[in-house]
Amino acid sequence: MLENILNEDEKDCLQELINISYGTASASISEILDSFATLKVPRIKLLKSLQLKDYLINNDSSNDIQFVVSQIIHGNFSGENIFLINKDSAFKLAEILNEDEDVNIEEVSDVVLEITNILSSATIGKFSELLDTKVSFQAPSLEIIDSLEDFNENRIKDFNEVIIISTILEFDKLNVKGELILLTKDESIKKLKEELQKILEEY
Amino acid sequence: MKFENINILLETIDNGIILIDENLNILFWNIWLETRSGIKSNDIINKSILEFFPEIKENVFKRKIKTALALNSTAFYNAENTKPLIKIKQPRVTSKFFEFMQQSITIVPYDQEKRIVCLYVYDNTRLSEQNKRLKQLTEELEEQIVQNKTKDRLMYEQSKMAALGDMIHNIAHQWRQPLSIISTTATGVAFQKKMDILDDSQLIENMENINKSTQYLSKVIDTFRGFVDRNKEYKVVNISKEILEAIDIVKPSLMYHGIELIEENECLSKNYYNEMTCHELPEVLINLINNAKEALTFKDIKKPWIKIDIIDDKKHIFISVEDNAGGVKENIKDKIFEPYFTTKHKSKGTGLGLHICYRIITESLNGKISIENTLNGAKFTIKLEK
Repeated sequence: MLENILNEDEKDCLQELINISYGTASASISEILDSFATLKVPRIKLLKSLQLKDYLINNDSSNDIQFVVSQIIHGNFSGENIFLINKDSAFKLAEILNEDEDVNIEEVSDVVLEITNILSSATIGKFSELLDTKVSFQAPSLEIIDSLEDFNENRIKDFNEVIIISTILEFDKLNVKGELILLTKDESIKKLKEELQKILEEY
Repeated sequence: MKFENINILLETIDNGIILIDENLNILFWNIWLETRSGIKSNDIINKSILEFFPEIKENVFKRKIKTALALNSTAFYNAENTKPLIKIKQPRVTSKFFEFMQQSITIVPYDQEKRIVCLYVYDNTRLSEQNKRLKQLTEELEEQIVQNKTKDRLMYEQSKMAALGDMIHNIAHQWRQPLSIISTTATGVAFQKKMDILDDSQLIENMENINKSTQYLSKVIDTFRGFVDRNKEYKVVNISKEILEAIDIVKPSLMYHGIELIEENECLSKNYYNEMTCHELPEVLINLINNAKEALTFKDIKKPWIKIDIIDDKKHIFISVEDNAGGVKENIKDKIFEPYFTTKHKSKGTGLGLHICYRIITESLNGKISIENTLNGAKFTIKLEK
């Protein structure tokens, strides 16, 4: 719904909060991933859910197999996180994390699931702490699709607004690009707007 | 309020519960795990889990523990994608898919200072079995769809060949008489010339006869070419005209077999209009009439006939084709529109004719087709919505 879309001030405030969350989380992520990984400050983009597929296709020209992980978020700020990473990046990620050059698809899948969970906790978990609200995560689940053209739009039809938190995980000089997409329902956006307004009024 | 017997909850819950530190030393192992793994709590506590389960990938497990502690959040082992963390043999001998219990595990921070996490172990074997069975069924279904598509294509090609065969048969019937006239006339002219009894007026008359016959042959070709090459567009169609078109093609063959074509209630002289895909109804009628013809000739019916009728009840148009060949057996009536179903000898029928009729009527013309036995024989009725 139109009134649920964030205005410029609210969007800036959201970007700032996500930056703080990432800042707090980056130390933890370095600890978890043995220091060789850093997380770039994410870019925030707000979209209508129907625009999502076109956005994803325009953003990834590789036309590669994609690992699509979804993770349900429960609590006041409920919704669903979707993490997308192409096959090439997913294999690189698994080879580095498992310190093994010969990883199989099961191991890659597990690593992608794990990274999604880390990113969810690092972003939404920390972010909800800042908003003084509680969230919990369901175990993530994975789907492998032939290309972004096969991205199932039905899965997002229940959501109106999409917040894209586009981030790059850097492993030394190796870029592993992944995109975290937060699908939110109207009531969560409403709640988010209220919280952002409170912060804007305070400062 | 203090819950002194909180341990009862941990020991009776229907999940495995493990407390473990970041160096993988076990601090708590509940009864659920004791009974399923056969490892007693006293034997495993204060020992590394790797001593008992050496197949665990140490770096992955430690990383997950770190995640839970560093982010003060949950970490997971998913049953769908990973092998079970704790290998526990399945007690059920009926399980077809898994030798070991399928697990999903949630890791939550327990004591951040002492670097301890809690593992909740869920037995997901049943769910995993169902998923696997579902996956198998989906694969079988997908395979079946591919097979059906191939079968459909094959069926379409076969039906085209069968229709072509029917067409050639009908052309042959229509050509037989004029060819016979041409042959007889030409032989007569040659004979008269040899006997020197051919005068000019007879020659011209005979040549005109030959010319007439060749023109008829040419017209037959035009009629058939017109029937084969037509565009099938959706428009208002004169149904009587479509039926007459079908009759034009099969009539010579019916006459050859001495079959009378009866038009009920002078239906074909009236005009019945309906909005539908044109040129598909004649295809169906030719098939139905040919079927009736074959039944009549096969059973050698005395005074054979085929009756055509149209009834318009303002909501529907009913077109019927009835014969006096005695009807079809009750036990095969339900199967008559199924593909590859035939009562004819293999060399004569593909079993596709009536199935193609059924598909044209139901899928393309959005109508219905049924069969009933009357006192005389079989009666096919096509019902079209107006």
